[in-house]
Amino acid sequence: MSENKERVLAAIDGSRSSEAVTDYAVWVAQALSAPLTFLHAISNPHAPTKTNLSGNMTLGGREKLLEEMVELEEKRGKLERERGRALLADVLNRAKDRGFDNPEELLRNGDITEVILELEQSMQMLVLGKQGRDGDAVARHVGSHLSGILSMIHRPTLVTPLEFRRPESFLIAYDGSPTAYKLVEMAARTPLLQGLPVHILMVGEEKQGNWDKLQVANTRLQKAGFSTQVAIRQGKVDEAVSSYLGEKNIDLLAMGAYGHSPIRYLMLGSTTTKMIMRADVPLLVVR
Amino acid sequence: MNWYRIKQEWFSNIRGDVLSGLVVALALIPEAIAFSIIAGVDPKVGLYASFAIAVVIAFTGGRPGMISAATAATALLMITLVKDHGLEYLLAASIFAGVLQIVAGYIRLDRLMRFISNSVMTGFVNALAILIFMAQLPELTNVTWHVYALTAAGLAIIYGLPKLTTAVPSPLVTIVVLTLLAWLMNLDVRTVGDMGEMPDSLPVFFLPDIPLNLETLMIILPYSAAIAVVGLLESLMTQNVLDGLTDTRTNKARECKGQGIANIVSGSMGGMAGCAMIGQSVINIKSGGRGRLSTFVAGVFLLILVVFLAPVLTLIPMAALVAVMIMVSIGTFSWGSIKDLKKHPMSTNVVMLMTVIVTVSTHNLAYGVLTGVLLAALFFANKVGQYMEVSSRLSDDANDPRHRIYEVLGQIFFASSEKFLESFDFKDDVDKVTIDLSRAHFWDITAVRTLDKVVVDFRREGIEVEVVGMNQATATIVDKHAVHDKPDAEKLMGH
Repeated sequence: MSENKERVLAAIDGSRSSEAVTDYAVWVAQALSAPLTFLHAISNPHAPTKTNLSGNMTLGGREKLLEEMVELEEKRGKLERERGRALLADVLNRAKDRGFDNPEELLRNGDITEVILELEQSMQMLVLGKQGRDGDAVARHVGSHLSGILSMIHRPTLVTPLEFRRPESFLIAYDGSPTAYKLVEMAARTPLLQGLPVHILMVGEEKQGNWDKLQVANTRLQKAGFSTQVAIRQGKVDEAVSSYLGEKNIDLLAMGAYGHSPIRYLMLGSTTTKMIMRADVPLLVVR
Repeated sequence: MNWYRIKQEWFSNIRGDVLSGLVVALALIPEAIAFSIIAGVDPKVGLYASFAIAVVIAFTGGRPGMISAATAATALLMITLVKDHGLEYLLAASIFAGVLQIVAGYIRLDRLMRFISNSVMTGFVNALAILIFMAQLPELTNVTWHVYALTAAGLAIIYGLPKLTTAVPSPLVTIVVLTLLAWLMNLDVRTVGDMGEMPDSLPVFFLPDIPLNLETLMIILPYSAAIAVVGLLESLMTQNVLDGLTDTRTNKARECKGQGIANIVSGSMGGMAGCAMIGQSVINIKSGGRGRLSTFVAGVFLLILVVFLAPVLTLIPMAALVAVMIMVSIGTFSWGSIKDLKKHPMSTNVVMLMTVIVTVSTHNLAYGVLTGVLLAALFFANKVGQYMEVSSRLSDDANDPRHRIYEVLGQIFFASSEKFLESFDFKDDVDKVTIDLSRAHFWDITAVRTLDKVVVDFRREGIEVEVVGMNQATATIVDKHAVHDKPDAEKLMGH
């Protein structure tokens, strides 16, 4: 993935996470020597704001409803656009301060999920914050769009915490599945993680079969020149992984976007989502 | 399967959707009863239909938040079928209409919607409004003054109450108040119970009891075709209206197939065919409904209400229903179109008015729309045909004095070819004529034949003709069909 010079896309929404998103995006783009674009999507819901339950129809009511909506949305749209421009300007300045020379900006109208998916083909990595704008009030609340984006995007995605800390080591959550091996393969190749010490962790029973699986990943990464460390922990995946992260003071977690059943997705979200809520390090999610 | 999209379309607005679904369900009940009466069937047929169509379309429709149920537009087409052949044939016709709509969705007939101009759409909704109003007239003729009083009181509540509060549906309050009034005062007025059977149980699947033969097919086919066409017309128009309101683009082909599936299910549950409803869909949006859940809730809640409240529903005086339907009629009417009559060109107004007149006199929206589309096409052809001009001058070249050059500008096709032919002077005293087509466009065979005639007529006068400057598009159609530049042109033209 390092050969092509597709851009790194960083989605910002003006929440507290935007600064960290900027810093991580600069780190990623510099490591990959890729162009960097900051994206802000303006969501201006085209819908009446006042709920009117009178259920009656009046002469010319259809026309009037449209007029009212257009008038309101016009004002809101203008305001949101101004706000978005200011936001992008701030972020661009910050990126320049961090030593990134020519970051680009992109302001689009529409739902952030839709906008990102439309741009998917033109990016090599997506960076976005853990908290959406509405998430500020609720601690550990995954940005409302995040799980939707993660469930659909095919590019590697870095989900950032609120504070930037330059990653000095990383952990691969490994379960021996083909997705997990793809993740190892990607980690071995990408310039982003080159040279960082890596921990490979499996959550499961401590038996020979699991050690064997770990060894496959270990060999691959050692061959790529990484200094590695392997471990097996027991318990629930999210708990075990986050305690390991704290214990070894690791700065980045790479994991696969594991498949999950549709019902689970609709009702609960996935292991990935749980992990995002728990960890206070950036997550590199690979499909 | 895209689970994110499903979640967006169903569960992104749960509170708003449930609330608006309830409002819509309450508004659907009087309409379903009224439209059953229009079609000449028991109220339960329309009520089962509204339940089935709303619930099915919630899953299969192309436009989240659009409300489909039993409608006036389709009910109007069923009257003679019910009168001559009975309910079973209506159910069969509904199912078959659904099949036709699914086919229409697969062969992308929704694309034909682009031939339906704005004036035709306006004419459609205005005609629909007038027909809904006219359908109420039988309830208002030869009745006691009580009925007028109740209807007037009903309208007063419908339009007055929202000025005080928009938290309760005013049509519902109307129905409750008028029903209580009529019941407590023991008024001798017609009630819903007098109009036929109400639903007494949950609907069940059954196939219509009709002979499956060619004769049956020939009976239901014209009705099914009309229902399918009108149903799709109103559905796709409603989809346009809602897409306009919420600034979105949604899938029309899916809507066609969805309507088809909904009608098949409706017909096999003892319901009549229906389609999307402009008025109800706008109410849904206004009440805060966005997602598929709103349509689903409307259907399910309607059934629950109807099955449990059937004994109470029979007490509703027809006057209350008439008041609600007058409101529906007024709300469906495009008020802006009356104001626009002065602003718009005559041809646009004629298209709109003829759509209304033909629909109201035939009670068939399909005929009205067809008339409107044909008229609009003729007016368009006439307009574009006027963009054609032929100018001529004698050559400036002193060595070539008797040489006239014609320059043609604009569109040549059936509507302008007569004018094209008349622009040439065949009695002219010249030796050579050049026809410069570099700024003209030939569209059809009529135009090509006319050019042939011009060339041949000049030659018959002994004048040499040269045609120059045909642009690419003109060249293709002339090359394919014209004879004048072929070696045996004279023979072919009878020389």
